[in-house]
Amino acid sequence: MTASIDGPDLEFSGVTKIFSGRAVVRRVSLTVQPGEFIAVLGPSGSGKSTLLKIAAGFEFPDEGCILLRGKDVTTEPPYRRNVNTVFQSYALFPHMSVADNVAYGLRRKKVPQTEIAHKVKEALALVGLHRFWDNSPTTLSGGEQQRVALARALVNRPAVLLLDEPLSALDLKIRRRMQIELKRIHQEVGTTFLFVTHDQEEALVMADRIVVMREGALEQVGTAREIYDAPVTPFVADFVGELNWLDANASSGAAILSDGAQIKLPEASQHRRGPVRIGFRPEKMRLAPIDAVIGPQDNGVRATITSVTFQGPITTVDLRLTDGMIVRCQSSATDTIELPEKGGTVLCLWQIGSTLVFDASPTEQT
Amino acid sequence: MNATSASLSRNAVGAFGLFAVAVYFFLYAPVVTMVILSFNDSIGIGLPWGGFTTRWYRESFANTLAIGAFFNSVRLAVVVSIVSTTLGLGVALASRRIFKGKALVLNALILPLLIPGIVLAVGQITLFNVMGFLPGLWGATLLGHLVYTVPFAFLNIFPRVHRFDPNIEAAAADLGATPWVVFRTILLPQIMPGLIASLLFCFTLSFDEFTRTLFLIGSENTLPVYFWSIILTDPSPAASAIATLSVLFSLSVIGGGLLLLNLRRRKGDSDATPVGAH
Ligand SMILES: Nc1ncnc2c1ncn2[C@@H]1O[C@H](COP(=O)(O)OP(=O)(O)O)[C@@H](O)[C@H]1O
Ligand SMILES: [Mg+2]
Repeated sequence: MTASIDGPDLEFSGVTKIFSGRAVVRRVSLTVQPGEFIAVLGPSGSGKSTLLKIAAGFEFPDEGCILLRGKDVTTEPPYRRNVNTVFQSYALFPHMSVADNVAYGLRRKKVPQTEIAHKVKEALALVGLHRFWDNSPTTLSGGEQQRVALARALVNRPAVLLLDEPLSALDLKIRRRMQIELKRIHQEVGTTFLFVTHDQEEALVMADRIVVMREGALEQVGTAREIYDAPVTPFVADFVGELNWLDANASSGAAILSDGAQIKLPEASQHRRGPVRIGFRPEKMRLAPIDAVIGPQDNGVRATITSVTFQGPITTVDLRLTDGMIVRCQSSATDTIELPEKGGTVLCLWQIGSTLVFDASPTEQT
Repeated sequence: MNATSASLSRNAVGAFGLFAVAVYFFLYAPVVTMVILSFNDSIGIGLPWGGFTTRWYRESFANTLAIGAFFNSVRLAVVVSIVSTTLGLGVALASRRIFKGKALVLNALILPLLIPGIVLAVGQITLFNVMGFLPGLWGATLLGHLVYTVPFAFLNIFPRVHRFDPNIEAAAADLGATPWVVFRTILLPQIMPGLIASLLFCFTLSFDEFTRTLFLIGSENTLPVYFWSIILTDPSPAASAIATLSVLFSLSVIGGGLLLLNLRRRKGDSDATPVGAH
């Protein structure tokens, strides 16, 4: 490859795709750096697959362009792009052996026979399938087929590996194992991964950066921590992890609930006035006796326990605030051991810094 | 399941068995009779048995009219099977795309199967007449056979093409295969059984075709037409010999085809030698 070593591997620039009058991908701009593991996260129908197909060349954008290692490939067909795809359905060639499947891309590039044999062996070893060399892919389990698909794509050393929900057809246990496996492989080969998933946990666990999509547009791009701790919209906050929502009215650095209780706002939201939505994560909340002192760094509201569910490592407590709003607290079992029973009143505490503040505009409801 | 219903089903099995034996008898007895009579040393077809002879075979092999009719049939059947399989494949591939009036096009292709051959033949000869198109082997008869066999070709190929996952072709394109290479290395090997079945099917349909051919062929001959003419004019055991040879030929074509199908079952990427052993 003659492309620049230090430029991005893949760039979407203002990409829009319209299907029957509806923009399925809207003005998406995204830069993917070499070696990154990016997860494209979004609910079903948000345009993730379409975005990937545009990168692979199976769909062509109505607006915008795609750069692959600095080269404009917007109108290039799939077979002239240095990207490879791992399909959700694996899409292995059923009439070829595992080795012939993996060798397919190298053969198209007229790589010498001895080199093919060597590279195929290496790729199958990478995914732990060297024993299955001569097998027909139809005799393999879902997880094994997934590995063959991975080896078949990676053996070509693509500039970017595109993965469209590659694990969603596997059962939970194998999926967990493949997540770890996929991360290991990513680190070992150093290829850039663009990974589509609708599973927020999978995205958090695997990706260097997460791209949250909603109705075809990028809602937020950031590290797992940024997305989780500082979601820029209620949609992101809700989609990634669970969230407690409170409706309040902001004035001079605090938000007032309808019963008069005060929520102190973090530095960046001090300027807000008028109706707001306050969010905080159930696992960032602690419960304390009703007469406990609220620290200067904390927010605290009174609530009545409506249910306590012991779940092993954590306990989930559902509570009702005095103005009727429902919140949930999740904490490790030892923290909650001295709680009053159902019906008792406690103080819900969380840090001011982990309080999320959003506009109360009704269009942002999810 | 209780004893009564078990014994009932045993009776049913017995009845079906008997029925099957009867079917096989009526299927094969005429053929066996014909083969036996082709060795009969007598002047007419049928009994009495006049002793064993191979004379009728020697005579058939020396009969230039019969040989000519046979080669006409073979050549016509080869052309018909190749052309109709190609057309059938084309329509099957087109049917994967969504286009307006697709259902109509496909149904219109299948419909002639329901029209009696003789009706179509009369219609065709009338139409050809109007168009000034003379009866003959390579014009009228070829067309008549194609109208007859293309639906069968399509029906053999369509299911294979239809159930083929387009993602698999996308994967091949993704790995660097141009559309033609995708067709050659991915689609073709997997629909090959359907293509071979179609070739065999259309070959035998054309090779055996009589009704339409009789109307469309004019003064030329195919084997069935020739056979019919000698049965009418000179029914000797030579007719049985010709029929036996024709059946043998058909069987060997089908046998060869089935062998071919079995052979390619264990083959991988048709494009290259397999990746060397490890
Ligand atoms: N070829 C197509 N023609 C028309 N609509 C399509 C096509 N492909 C996808 N869509 C529509 O675009 C939207 C986004 O689809 P997709 O990219 O598959 O979403 P996701 O992968 O996030 O679930 C969906 O509403 C889908 O129905
Ligand atoms: Mg999808």
